[in-house]
Amino acid sequence: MEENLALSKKLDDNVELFKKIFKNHEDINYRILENIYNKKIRICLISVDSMIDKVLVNDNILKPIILTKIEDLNFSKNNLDRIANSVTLTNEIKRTSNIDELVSSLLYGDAILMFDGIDEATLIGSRHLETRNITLPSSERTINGPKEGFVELISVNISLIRRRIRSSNLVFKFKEIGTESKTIISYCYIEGIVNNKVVTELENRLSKIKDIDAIFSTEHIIELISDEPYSPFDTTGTTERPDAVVGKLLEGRVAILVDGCPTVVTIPFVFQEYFQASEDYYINYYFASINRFIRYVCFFLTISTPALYISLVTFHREMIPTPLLLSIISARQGVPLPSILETLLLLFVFEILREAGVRFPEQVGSAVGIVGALIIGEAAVTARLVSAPIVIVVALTAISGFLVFSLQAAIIIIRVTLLIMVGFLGVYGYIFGMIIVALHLMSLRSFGVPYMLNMTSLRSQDLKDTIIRAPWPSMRLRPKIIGKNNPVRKKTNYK
Amino acid sequence: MKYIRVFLKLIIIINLLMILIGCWNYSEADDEFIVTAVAIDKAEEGYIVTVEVTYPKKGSGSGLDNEYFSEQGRTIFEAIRKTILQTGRKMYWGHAKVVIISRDIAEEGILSVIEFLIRDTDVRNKMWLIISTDETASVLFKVEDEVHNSIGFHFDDILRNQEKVGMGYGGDLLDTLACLSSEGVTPKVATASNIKTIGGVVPRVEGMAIFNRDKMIGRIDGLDVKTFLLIINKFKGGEYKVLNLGNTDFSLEILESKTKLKPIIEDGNIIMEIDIKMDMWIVEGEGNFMSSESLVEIRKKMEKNITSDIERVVKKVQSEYNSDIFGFGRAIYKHKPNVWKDVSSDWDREFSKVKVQANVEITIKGTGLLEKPIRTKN
Repeated sequence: MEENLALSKKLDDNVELFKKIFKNHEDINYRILENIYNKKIRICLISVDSMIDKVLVNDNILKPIILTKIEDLNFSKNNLDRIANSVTLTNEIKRTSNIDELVSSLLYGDAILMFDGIDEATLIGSRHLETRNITLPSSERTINGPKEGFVELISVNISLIRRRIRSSNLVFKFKEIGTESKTIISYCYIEGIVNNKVVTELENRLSKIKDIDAIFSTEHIIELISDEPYSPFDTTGTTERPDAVVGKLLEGRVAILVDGCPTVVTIPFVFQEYFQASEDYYINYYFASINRFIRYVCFFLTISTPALYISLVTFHREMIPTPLLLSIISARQGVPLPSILETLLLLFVFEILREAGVRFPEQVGSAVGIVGALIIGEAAVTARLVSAPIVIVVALTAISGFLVFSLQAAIIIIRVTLLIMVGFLGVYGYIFGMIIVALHLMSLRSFGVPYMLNMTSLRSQDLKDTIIRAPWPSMRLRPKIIGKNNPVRKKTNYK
Repeated sequence: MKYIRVFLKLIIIINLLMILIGCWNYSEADDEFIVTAVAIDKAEEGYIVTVEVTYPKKGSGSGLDNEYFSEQGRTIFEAIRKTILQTGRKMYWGHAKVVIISRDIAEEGILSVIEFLIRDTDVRNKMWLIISTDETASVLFKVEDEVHNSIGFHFDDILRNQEKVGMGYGGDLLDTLACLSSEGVTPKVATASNIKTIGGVVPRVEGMAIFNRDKMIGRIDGLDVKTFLLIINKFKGGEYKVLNLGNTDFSLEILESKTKLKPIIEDGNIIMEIDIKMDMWIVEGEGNFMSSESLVEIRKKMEKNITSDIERVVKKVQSEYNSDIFGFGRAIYKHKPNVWKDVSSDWDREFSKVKVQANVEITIKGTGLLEKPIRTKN
């Protein structure tokens, strides 16, 4: 933008100024108004066609300004206040002479009112942004519990959180990031519960995000503020469910909302949260605990099954019961590839199918399943390209992987690494690989909180929301470190 | 809390056990023959080793096929390696079930064979040991086995269920090694031979070889084996013997049996108290034996039978073989270590003087599903 842009006292000059800024724009509306009682009052209303609430602008701005009897006018700034305060009928009004602010607000759906003779403009909140309905988030479905999910509009998302915690302690802070996009991001926390060091650290990291042209998803924020941007494990949590965000806020976490993205980031994030589904908190705790236990087992299965199978079949055959070994051998008769290549091949094919299933248009999505099941499952075995036990192993691996879908990136990397290590070293390779994974997990931190928080603990209170989901009456404490500011959730342990 | 610690320690131990398994190299399962049994015979120079290998049937049919390969070598290992010349493939020994040793090797001493089998990394220590009482060991392979299609699996199944039948003594390599290398007990090994039955010729475990040190000195079979197994607390089910009472044969099934050896010193003599507690029930027999009097009578007779059998078998072993297959020495070492110190140096002689006192206590738990004998009307 050019230098020394400032509003002048002449309305026509000001209009020219805006027309110069929006040189090639055709969707910007310049409306010159005159009061019918006092022709001296000339006002220009600038707005972007598609983003304003037309009814509001017509009824509450244009109509009053044109029809209200305005007398004794001397063009002073007080006068501007009078018009803002007693003529227009909108709740959001702001006076400014900052051109940058005016431009960005205008492009977010606000209307600018400029008066002849005054070198200041009034911003009127008239935005009407289209959004989709609040629906069940497809990535985190539940059978019981609320069916609401975040949408793309940050104001709607804030309302979804606010109405669940009607407390003055719930604080929303705002920030604009992106030199071009000027995206609004907001972070919220509950004062008195949150660990202030986390908030300070977050503010510190957010302030370091400079010189980025645009941000339009939470993934941008995550990768810019993450502790370990190069780890396959996330150190920030994401969710599309307001109830999940509220639960995390109450544990002392901070949530970050990004305008234009229905996903909300929560920090600090620890490993156990991968295994907590919202559903767990809305169903019987025995059932929830079983489900959670299954998720942990499946995480183990999905990274280990191919590696353990290969190590048993190619290195440690004495560990397989004789009848099973004989049936594995008979299944392998005539298969040309070595077992390890066979497994890698089939795992690769599975990843192709998985990706295809996501990328395909919904209408042809089922074709992927048919092709996968028939061609890979049936034909490949019949043609002796792969042996049947490997198909079972890969199927088990794949299905158990879906139970902890948010861990997919880490799972695929660990699974293949373990498999290759096993190909060289047998079960030793598996053990070494697992040690590396354990060391890596133990060394991670998320905003100062150890990543494996509670996973290695033996205190019964710490374990109440890990592998099991304890009944509500007994969950008396917030997670340690994260909620250390206000650790007690419920003083009495009533029945 | 304490339990959690114990549990965690258990998990750690189990995890550490994982790295105890052997590993050598990456190899495909279908590139090797699985050895299921091996027979070792004596050659003029060295040994003749016959291996039984099993592989799935060629083609789409299911089931197993097996083949036998024999080679001679001055050592067992040489013979085994020579078989690769015939098979073209390596043998996989991790699943071998049985090692059959010929009688002449057993009489000369099994130590060299056992030594190799235990030392070799490929061979599993839990292989069953069998002495062939036929002319050679490999002759046991010359029989078609319809059920298992493999002599190795056949013997494996038999010896696994030995405690329910009582035809021989199921001892594996480790057990034999333990008997060989510890004092107060001598090894005993099941014997087997091809036996003509109603269904045809089958290799069958029958009887038990008695060893002194590592040399086979004799063999007992039939009821003696059952009595022996009863003494060493290895007879856990099945039928001990048919009881005849008033023209009727009764079959009693052992439900549970527990034997305790307890040495007593009396006037410088060692008396071995053999306490046997048995639960039985009557499964077959005609007549009204359900009355409490006849039950007592049956019980008493059975107790008496077992007692006299025990005394007879111990006497027989003492007088004919003088080899402590029962582990009486071990029992003395366990219960009366001071006495063992005195007698251990001359245990062979002391063993023959050990007196036995059997206390058999049978509880007849019932008479099966019938309360009254079945009678025909009119």
